Amino acid sequence: MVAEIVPDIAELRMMPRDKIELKRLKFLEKEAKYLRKVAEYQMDLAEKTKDLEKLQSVLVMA
Amino acid sequence: MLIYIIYTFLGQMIVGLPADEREELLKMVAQRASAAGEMHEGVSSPREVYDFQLTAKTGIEAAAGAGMTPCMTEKGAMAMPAKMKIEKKDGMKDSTCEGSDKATMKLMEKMEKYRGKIAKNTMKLARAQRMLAVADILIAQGVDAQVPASLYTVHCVSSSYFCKQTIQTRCKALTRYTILADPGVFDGYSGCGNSA
Repeated sequence: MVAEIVPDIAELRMMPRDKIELKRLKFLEKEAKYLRKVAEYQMDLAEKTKDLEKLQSVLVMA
Repeated sequence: MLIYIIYTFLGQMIVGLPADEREELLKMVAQRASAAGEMHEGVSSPREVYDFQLTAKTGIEAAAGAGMTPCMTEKGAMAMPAKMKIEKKDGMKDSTCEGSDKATMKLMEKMEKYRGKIAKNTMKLARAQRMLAVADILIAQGVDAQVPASLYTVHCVSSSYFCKQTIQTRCKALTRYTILADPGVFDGYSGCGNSA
């Protein structure tokens, strides 16, 4: 991960200020996007976990 | 059914005949049956009907051998459906178990898939957050600003923990470098106690 981010930072350093600001907005967008995705998948996972628990309880009762 | 009745009747007739006549009759019937191309499941020849009548076996094995439905006693009639019922119940149980196993497996696979997606997106989120923090520092201090070493490394896997870490890092960076060109850009950090 360190190796991955170093060239990105170097690239960012070479940009003019307005472009960095633009990039910043893009990172902000990405942050929001991945936050949303993580939240969605966590909800899906919780749902599936619930389903599995339900199924297992039904099996135990049967 | 009609053929069965005919064969039964024929068998009863044959039993009453002398041996030589019986043989002749059986031959003739067999010839006629083959000539007519009569094929039937179960009893294939009058000889079998005759043999069946002679042995007078009424059990399931004998009936199965002759291809005929045995006459059932009361006990037999009661026992057969019960047996079938038990088999059916077992079969249902097996199929239910298989179905639930499949459903469980499917759910577990889906859960694993979601876990993978969460991990992948958490990594991407962490990267975006770190880059955002770097961009903040560069905007605040200039392109020659020193980026904290903590931003170069991944701190944790948990997204919530990493969010906390990154926000703290950003707050620290802003506290250290208070040169802000546009205060509106850093609205997101007002909760950290940093105001431009």
